[in-house]
Amino acid sequence: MLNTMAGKTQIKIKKKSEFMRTLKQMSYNKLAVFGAIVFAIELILVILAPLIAPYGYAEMDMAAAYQPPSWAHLCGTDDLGRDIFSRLLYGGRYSITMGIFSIGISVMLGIIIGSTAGYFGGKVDNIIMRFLDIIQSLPGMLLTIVISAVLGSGYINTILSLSVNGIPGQARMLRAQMMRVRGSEYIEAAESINCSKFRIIAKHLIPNSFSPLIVQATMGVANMIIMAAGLSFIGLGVQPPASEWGAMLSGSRQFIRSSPHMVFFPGLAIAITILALNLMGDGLRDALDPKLKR
Amino acid sequence: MKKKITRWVCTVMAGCMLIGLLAGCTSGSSPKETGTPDANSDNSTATDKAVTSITIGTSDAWDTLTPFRTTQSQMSSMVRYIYDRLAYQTADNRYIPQVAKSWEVEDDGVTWNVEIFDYVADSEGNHITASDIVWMLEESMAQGLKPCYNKIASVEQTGDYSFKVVMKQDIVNSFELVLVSTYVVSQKAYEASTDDFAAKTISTSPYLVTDFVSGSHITFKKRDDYWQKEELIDKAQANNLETITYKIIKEASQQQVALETGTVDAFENISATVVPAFEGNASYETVQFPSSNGIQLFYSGDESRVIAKDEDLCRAISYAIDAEGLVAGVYNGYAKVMHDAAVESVVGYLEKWNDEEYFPYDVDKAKEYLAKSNYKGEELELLCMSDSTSQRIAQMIQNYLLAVDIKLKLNIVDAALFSASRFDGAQYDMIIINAGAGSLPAFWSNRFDSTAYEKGDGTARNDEVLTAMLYSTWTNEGFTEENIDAVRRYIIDHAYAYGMCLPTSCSIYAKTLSIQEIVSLPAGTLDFAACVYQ
Amino acid sequence: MLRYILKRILWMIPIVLGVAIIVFTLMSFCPGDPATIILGSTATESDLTAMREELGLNKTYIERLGTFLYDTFIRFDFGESWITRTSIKAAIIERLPRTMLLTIATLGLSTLIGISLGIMAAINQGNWKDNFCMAFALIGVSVPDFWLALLLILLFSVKLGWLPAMGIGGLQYYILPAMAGCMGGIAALARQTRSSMLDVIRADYITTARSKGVPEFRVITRHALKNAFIPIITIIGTHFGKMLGGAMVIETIFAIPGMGSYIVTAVNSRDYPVVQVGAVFLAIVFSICMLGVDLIYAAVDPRIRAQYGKKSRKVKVNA
Repeated sequence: MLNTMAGKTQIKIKKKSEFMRTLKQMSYNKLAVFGAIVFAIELILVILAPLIAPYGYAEMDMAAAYQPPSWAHLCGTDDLGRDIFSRLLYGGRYSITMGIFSIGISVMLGIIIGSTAGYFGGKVDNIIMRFLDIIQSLPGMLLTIVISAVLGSGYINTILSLSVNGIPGQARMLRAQMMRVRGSEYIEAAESINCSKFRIIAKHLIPNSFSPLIVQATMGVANMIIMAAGLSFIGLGVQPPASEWGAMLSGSRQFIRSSPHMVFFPGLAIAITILALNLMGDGLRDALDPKLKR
Repeated sequence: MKKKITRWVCTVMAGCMLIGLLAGCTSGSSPKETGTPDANSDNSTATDKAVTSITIGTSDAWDTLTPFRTTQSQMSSMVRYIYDRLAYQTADNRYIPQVAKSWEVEDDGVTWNVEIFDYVADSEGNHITASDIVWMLEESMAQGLKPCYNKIASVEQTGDYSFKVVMKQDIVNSFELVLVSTYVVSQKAYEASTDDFAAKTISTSPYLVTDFVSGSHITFKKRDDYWQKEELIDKAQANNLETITYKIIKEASQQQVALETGTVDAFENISATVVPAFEGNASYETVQFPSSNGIQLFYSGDESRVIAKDEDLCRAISYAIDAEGLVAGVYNGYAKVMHDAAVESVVGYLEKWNDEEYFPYDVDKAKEYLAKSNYKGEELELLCMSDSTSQRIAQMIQNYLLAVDIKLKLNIVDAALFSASRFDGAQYDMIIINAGAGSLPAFWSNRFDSTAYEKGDGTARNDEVLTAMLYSTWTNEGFTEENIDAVRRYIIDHAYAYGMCLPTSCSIYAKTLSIQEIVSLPAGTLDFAACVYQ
Repeated sequence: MLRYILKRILWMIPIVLGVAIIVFTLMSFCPGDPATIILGSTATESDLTAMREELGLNKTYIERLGTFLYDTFIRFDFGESWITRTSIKAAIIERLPRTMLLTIATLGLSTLIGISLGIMAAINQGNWKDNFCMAFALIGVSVPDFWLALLLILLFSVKLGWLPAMGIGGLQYYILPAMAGCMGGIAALARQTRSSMLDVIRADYITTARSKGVPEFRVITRHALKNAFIPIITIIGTHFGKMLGGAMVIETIFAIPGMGSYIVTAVNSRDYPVVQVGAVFLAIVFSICMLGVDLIYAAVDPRIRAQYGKKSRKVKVNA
């Protein structure tokens, strides 16, 4: 108990430079740095996809279908003779942005809901929390599937249906965080000089509750990418010929025996991304955790 | 003291819940274990004698056994073991009597008199009379169960074992379609059933359902007291197996695993992607028959779509698609190119069509027609279902059209949305349909009869000329080769539809079954009970 | 304490009601006409109208919601599936145990492996063993589950022939699905175990225990793990909920007819009653599990028990 108390006060004292401090702390963690570098490389590759990709993502060549990896096709070709490497590069644009945007939306809504609950407390808090209870007692994937069926498939709709799933977790997290900060002196001080509620929430409470949120969001991106893959498995998600990784993976699973490379590379792409994100998230978490400070 | 009690309460409650959970699980699943016969042990004992029991893998899921649902295909091979029908359609399109003994038409061409066997009984001993059949027909008509029932005007019982059916129109084969679509059950037994036969049926079929787990497996056991006399059972309906188990396996890779590990002895209509793995394997036999449903592209006939009035554009699209490419790319070669919108197995299909030219792949011709059309680079929309085969076909079509500068947007929807919008031509420019039918008239009436649906024909088109042609052709008198050919010509000339490819239904079985003689079904699958074993 | 449990059970009612209303509302926005799906696309307009009437689709949203809630929660009549005409209750009674068994097997496996990895990592903090354990957990979670499932089938069913690859039957049918599905849980549990073990492992009482000469194994299991248990239980609880509905990928691949595949099929065929009742059942099971988690908290941690005790005393004073 004492330990955690000490941790809290430390955070408060150093609050201004916390972000920089966290980054510095993180840079000691080799694995986290490795994760960050891998993710950064991936981002660059994906952004520069049109320049790097040797073929178009929907470019078919039936004569070259099912080819194993070679110099002409780094990751081989798929059942319709499309270059898997190029498709992975373009597909990353969908997968990674889907992960980031859907977590972004759920963080934003989570902030709004969580901070309202956390700041006002009492009845408002109670009602919001009960509502979140309801959402959370529905299995997450099921909720996503139902919403996805309502909205229909497609890039934006998939992002929306994924993001609903993450809201309760983010909101809860932020609320707990704010409950902790709310009692502190500087909030009292702000209230005493008649700061508007919105200003207090936006300027003081949220920034001070933000760090655990970032950790959770980093891991969340990974989680969303996996969920998107699950959605494509049951025929929802992004429409072909867009080459979202999950869709590539689940679309090629019937060829796992005859052309394993078709399944291997999309799976590898997903695995690397998620591993990198998780390493980053772990590093961030350790860096933010005063108990683990070296 | 008090603390101790609370702690004790907590532990006990938590423990109880856990035990409850586990108990719930085991009690729920244990009866299944005893119910599932072990395929392997059954077979090993029967190696020296003829095979009497078999486990068949299928991707065709029967979720319910009730005779009043059409979510399942009546072409499925297990239907015969669940229900007897009035008549039975063989693979070579013969209609042989089953419960109906004979049927004949009066001179007006629409009134049919049917006589049924007078000794039909179900497994519970309920005697079947004409009133059971009439009830079944009327109920099916009231529910609009299948399209064939919409063609019936009235049904009337004329004797204990005879009844009369009046059709609305004289359409070739429409009455036979009613015969093979009508399942026979006792009205009394059905009404006494608590679940409308959904999980437990009482029927007149030669097999009893002994174990049915929706979405997993279904087991049949041969009845000793089947009502029909042995000598009157056609060879196509022979019952040479004692027990038959169907296991539902939808994943393509698992289908292969199931065969390899001996989980199933045979697999009907296996995914084309795993067939090559068994080709040339000495322990398996692969049989191929054309399936009953083709893959067709229909162009919207709704006035709100440009494509409806632009036959040149439709023609351009038809020429731009390489059906051979689809066969190779999507079906691994396990399909063949079609020569009409209708599949070649339907009654009335003319052999000579297979030699005629039917929208051969020709980019130059496509471009020529495109230049003549009013297409100005707008994005066309293709509606298709979200199963992996349809998706791959759609992507290939998109690619073929891109080669002639036609932009295509794919609208891939789930089965529910697809069936809700497939007849509304306003929602797409073209649509991939997986259509088949017992006969040409049935196919035409499903697809090209402008009076068939609310908005017109299958794509909301209203073509009175074609409809008049159909009406005069599909009567028993007008069903001549010449007229049939003219209808086909008309549909091709106006480019209403383009039949792309007809998938092959591949069934694979272990050689240990030692099947001597194969009996196939109209859908291209095998009837394992009717096959002759060594 | 009993009062608290009773209160928690009463709390389940509004939550389950809320779930029912949300799912009902979502489904009513689903595009696609159930009548068309049931009757097949060849039915005539009058058939469709009749079917809509039979299903009650012609009524207003409020009326339908009222009927649904009344039937489900007052009459306990869960109705039948629109598509298959089978009793939903019977189907759920048949399918829920399979999903529960799968979930318990999966969770049991992840708990076993996850906690062991976490302890290994915590004891060896900083050295290669720590890194190895955490890397294993991380790589596990990075692999999409159906990918892993297919690979496991190839290895254990096809190559080695040890385990059945699909279907239902005895417990052995659940081993491969559990192995394929346990990875997500392993990573979360290993992480949580490691960090809460690190919390307690430096505490004074551990040092005391060690200096008393208590064997290291006993220190870890009796003293450290017991105190690190609360957050671990939370993780197990939340994963239980996730898995109940999220197992449909695993269920599909291994051809296990469980709740996940039941509900997903129902969503795809717009079988509203199945989706609604299925979701309500899952929510109830989830709430009960959460209650179980709270009870375990109380059983494990005397501080939490004391809290409940205080609450109930307060109530008594008020009354």
